[in-house]
Amino acid sequence: MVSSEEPRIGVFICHCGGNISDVVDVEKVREAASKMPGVVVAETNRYMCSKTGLDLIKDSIKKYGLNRVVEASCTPRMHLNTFRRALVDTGLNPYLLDMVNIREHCSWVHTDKDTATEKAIAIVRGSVMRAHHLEPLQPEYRPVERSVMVVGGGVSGIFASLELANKGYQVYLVDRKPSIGGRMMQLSKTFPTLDCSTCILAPRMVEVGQHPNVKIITLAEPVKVSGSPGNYDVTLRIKPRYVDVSNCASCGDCAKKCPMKRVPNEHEAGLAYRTAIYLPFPQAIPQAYVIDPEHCLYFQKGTCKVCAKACTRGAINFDDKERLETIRVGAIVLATGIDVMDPSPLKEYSYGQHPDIVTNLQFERLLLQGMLRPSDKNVPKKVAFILCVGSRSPERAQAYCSKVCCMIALKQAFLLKEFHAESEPWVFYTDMRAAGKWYEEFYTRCREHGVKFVRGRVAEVKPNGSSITLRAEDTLLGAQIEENFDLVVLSTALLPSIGTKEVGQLVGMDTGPDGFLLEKHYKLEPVDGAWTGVYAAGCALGPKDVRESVVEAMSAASRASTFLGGGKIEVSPEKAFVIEDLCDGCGVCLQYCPKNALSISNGKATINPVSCIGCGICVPVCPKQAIDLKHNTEKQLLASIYGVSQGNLKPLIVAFTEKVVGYRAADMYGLDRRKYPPNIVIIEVPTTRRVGLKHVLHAFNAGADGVVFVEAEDNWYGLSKEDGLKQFRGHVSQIQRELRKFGVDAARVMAVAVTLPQYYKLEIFDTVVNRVKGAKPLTDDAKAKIKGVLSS
Amino acid sequence: MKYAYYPGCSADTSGKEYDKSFRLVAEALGVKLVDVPEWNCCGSHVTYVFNPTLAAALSARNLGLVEKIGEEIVVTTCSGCYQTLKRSNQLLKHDGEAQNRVKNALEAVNLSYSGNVKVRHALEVLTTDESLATLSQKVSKPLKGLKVAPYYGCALVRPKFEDSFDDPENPQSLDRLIKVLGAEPVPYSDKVRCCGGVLIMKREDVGLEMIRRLLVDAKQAGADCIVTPCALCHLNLDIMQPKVEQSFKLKINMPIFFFTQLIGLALSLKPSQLGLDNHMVPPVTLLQSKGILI
Amino acid sequence: MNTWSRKITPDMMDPNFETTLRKKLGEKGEKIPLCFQCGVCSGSCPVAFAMDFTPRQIMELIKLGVKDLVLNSSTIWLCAACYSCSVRCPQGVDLKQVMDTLKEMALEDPKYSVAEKAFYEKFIEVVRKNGRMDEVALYVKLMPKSTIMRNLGFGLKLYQKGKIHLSPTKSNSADQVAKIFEKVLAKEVQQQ
Ligand SMILES: Cc1cc2nc3c(=O)[nH]c(=O)nc-3n(C[C@H](O)[C@H](O)[C@H](O)COP(=O)(O)OP(=O)(O)OC[C@H]3O[C@@H](n4cnc5c(N)ncnc54)[C@H](O)[C@@H]3O)c2cc1C
Ligand code: SF4
Ligand code: SF4
Ligand code: SF4
Repeated sequence: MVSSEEPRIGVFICHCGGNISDVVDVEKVREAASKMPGVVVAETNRYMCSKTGLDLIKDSIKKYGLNRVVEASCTPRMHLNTFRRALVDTGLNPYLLDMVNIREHCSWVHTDKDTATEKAIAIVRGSVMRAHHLEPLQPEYRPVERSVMVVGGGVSGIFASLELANKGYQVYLVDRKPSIGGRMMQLSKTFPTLDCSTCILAPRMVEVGQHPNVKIITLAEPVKVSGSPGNYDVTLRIKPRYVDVSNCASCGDCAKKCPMKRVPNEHEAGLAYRTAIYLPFPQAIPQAYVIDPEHCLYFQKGTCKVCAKACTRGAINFDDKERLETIRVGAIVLATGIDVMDPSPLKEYSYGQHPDIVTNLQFERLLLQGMLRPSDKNVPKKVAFILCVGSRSPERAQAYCSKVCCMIALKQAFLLKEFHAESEPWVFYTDMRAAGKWYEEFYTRCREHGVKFVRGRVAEVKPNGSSITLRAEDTLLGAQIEENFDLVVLSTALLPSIGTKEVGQLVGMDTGPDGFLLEKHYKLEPVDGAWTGVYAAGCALGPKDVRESVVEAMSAASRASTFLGGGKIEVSPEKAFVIEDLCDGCGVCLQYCPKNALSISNGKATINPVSCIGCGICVPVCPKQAIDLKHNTEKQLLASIYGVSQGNLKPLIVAFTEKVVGYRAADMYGLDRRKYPPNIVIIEVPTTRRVGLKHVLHAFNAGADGVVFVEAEDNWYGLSKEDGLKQFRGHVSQIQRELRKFGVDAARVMAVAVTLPQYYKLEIFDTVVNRVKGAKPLTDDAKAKIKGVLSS
Repeated sequence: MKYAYYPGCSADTSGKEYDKSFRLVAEALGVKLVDVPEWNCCGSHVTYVFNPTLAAALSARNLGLVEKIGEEIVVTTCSGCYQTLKRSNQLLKHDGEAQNRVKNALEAVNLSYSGNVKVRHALEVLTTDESLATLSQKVSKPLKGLKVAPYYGCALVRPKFEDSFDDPENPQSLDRLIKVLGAEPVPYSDKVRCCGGVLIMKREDVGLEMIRRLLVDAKQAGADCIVTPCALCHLNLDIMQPKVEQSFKLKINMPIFFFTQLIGLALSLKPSQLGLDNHMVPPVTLLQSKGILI
Repeated sequence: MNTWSRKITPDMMDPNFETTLRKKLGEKGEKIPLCFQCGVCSGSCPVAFAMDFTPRQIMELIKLGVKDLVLNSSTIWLCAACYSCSVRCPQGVDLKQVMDTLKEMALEDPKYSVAEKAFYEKFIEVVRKNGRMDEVALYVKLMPKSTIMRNLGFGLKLYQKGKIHLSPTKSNSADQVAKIFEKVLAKEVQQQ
């Protein structure tokens, strides 16, 4: 067994082109590493991840009989598996590798070469010392559910569902509306090809509706997600439809009799009315009526039920109730799409003050209703299309560009001209953004067709009797334009659907500052969520056109099937385990485990490895030190602490950093080339609550001058953000209190919680260093006290 | 309600009838006014350009006087003063250095100012829900058939202060008041568009054009008259109206009322009490034609 | 007034202009580089029709550092301080405040605005002397001699309507106001 063998460690240090070696003196690090205990060989290479680099590692393993490998290069999030494979290729267990980050956490965040090199040495020393205690581990495998839940039945959700269903997966397509179809079903024709929107989507809706592998669940949205990748349990809240879908023939007899005739019609964007019992739109899937209880006379006043009498098939059921249903699926795709911003808060556009001031979504409906003015049903002659209403306005509404509004306005102006040749469409734009396949060509066609363009964002729209006055600057001339129009179309910002943040949180997906879902990696994992088995597609990730939505839908489907296709998922062996000899069965640990993985049987604590997520929270709370964590054992952690705390960096601050969000936030900080003082050295931990008072004392004993805890702001294993943060802060202040008893200034211990989008919060590192510098000195007395406690 | 009252310089000149009518209707509506003693010019935004600290000091003297007579809220009829006094409060709150210098200047005249006096506009205090309710009960001569273009101007609604009472783009207080008085508000596109203010003194050509378009737009929208809460706007729209007619060869004949005068009429006060005969554009014929005056 | 050949040459650009302006504007100055020339300000401006550069163009000139064109422009003096631009700018540029600061810069520098200075000086003088403003009197005061004769009838009518007085209104606090002037402006001199 390797663990009993004398450690023979090889250290491999990467230049990363110059990314590391421009700041860190790699040769100096190599020299220092070669003198560290247990190190048999230390090498450098221009690119360790290249074939030459990997061959160097493999050859060294063979040549020197290495049984531990330390790799110092970029973030393990990038190449951990690459290097682990090199070990496997030579017959070593992959867990005998320790990889540390001297790029994102060192060369990219520091400028001074000497101190950066000093810090790199400290990092490598921590790793070498830890490597002494590495043990081989075997991953486990668990079967996955061969099914997917697709949330959102717009074009993205429909295409993701079809793609997965055709590959043989069971798909649950969930939409909170009474029909699938999404925005596209409200559109007239679609740019740049001018296909009729309904004509191209409706057949796919029918197909997905009839597919044997697809179950459509409407009026439903997820409210809870538990389980783990490959085996998620999604709880849906399903609202009552009051109409039996399988029985309804959609004859409409009920609606003819319904007395509630003036309910604003959502499908017509409020430009028409419907009854309280209604078919969402003619091509609706499922093809069935639905009662809207908020407007139904029976639900509001207690009497009516006229529809039930009219329905010859007895399909109407007033006793239908809201229910919860839990479905187990292997993967989840979010395709929750967009809403159109309500422009009325931007009062200069006077939306709502004149019937002929409409949104671009309403204009789509006007095109389908015969293209007449809402006010007097006359043909509008002069029509203004106003771009950037609420977009690109960081101080007034949304900061981002809604991306498709320029093209929407071009299309609408073009279609108007086609409808009424005598009409006069004017497009007022801030910058014309027509970058996409065949977009510029479409813009050209619009100019050929007599659409007028004015470069200037409209300043104000004011009702003026039956007409509407519009004021703007033609910025190309520097001239003021003041014109009357018959119809004004506001190209409003596209917002993430209401509830995007909440549904994202259910599956561990953050939202960015724009409110859209945040992909795992902007470029390289553009449809992945942070959790394995969670994906997103279409406008849920940001405003875009149909084509791009479909591309993403298919990517998400492909990613899901790649994940589920193997039929099993590798489960990390990094779990907690009980040292039975030490455990006295007191059960203290039980109340701390966030996953209820601990129980007492036969007078000893036992851990259910399926539930255990390896957070390590139970380790420091055990009064008998009877629990330990694989791949992050007490010995390994303490070795890291002692390793990094030696050396010449003063003051030295150990940053215990949570591995999912905290560690990646530090990576992003480096990626952004932001700077912090080299006095901060990061040690990766599964959660900061893996680290107890004992470890902090060890850090001070080892020579550290301060400690900072970097935790994920929003990753509390089921706790709310507020409660989670409270526990985190409580944990740290408890440690601060205890330290005071040793005469250690509480200013030497700090806490910061970050999210990925707010990775820049790590700029607090500057403050941390300053506070430690300004703290009351660590007296010899205090040090002696600490030493005393640790040795007893 | 009781307020300190700061009439502003125009109360003695172009806005005489505004001051007069405000005092009368305030009394009729049970709003008690206590004059700020020995007040001075607020400085207006002109002083702000010249020297912001000086402007703040001029305002602060008036606000200090309000405190001296034991009041917490000062009400003013002039939109310009309203804006300037509010700006000074803001400046004193956020700029420590200005605060110090103002303090020293006030000490030289044996005054102090804490920064806490609330500045309200006459329109604001007369159009609260409560005031409008009282008013609607007291209206004895509804202004039936009078089509009124509400003209808010700029200084009243912009910039937006934390405690601004109406919207900068689509204010409603005058509209609501007009309805309570029994008249009909006329929607038109210029109700918050600037009249040019003091431009008329510097560039008469530009000023006249700005006034012309306001008058013509209101006229085209079908208004019989315009109502305003600002003495400077009134100066431009009323006093300058004959000049506009002359230079653009137009016949406009659009009476311009202070909102307090309209309230007064609806309360059956006499035109002379309200100073209606001080106007350059006489409103009597219009009021007679609507049966409001006999 | 500006005369220029629609050509901007390097010698017209003052690299310190934007920085100075930004500094004077404090926190508000940070927004200046964000202007993306959308034109909302100019479209909102009720005086833009009479300006030699529209407010948006002033922003562009500021960013290019063309100081003379900006400080000689009619724009900064025509700005009626109505805040229409400021409340609507999507990037949060307080353009009204920018205009005020530009006026201040022009007034400070004898190179610019000789004509405009008269207005500000007369205005301030009236307040300093009387403690009060008399806008109608100021209007008459600022009228060029030639037009006074033409406007005699107008003046008479104003007098009849009680809109002007023969002697300026004086606040009984004029002395105190003069002291405040003295105090604040003296401090100013000291500081420089
Ligand atoms: C006015 C207008 C005109 C346009 N014109 C064009 C055009 O001409 N050409 C073009 O290519 N693109 C056009 N687009 C863009 C196009 O509409 C989108 O690209 C497309 O609809 C995106 O599809 P999606 O499925 O991602 O989202 P959506 O179509 O918005 O569908 C999202 C679905 O998710 C459901 N949902 C949301 N949240 C939940 C939840 N929590 N639980 C359950 N279900 C949920 C919604 O009910 C909805 O059915 C236009 C957009 C607008 C607004
Ligand atoms: S019960 Fe409701 S849905 Fe049915 S007819 Fe009456 S109002 Fe319409
Ligand atoms: S409105 Fe603002 S962003 Fe637009 S041009 Fe004017 S200053 Fe620039
Ligand atoms: S503040 Fe000045 S620049 Fe801005 S809109 Fe008003 S007049 Fe124009």
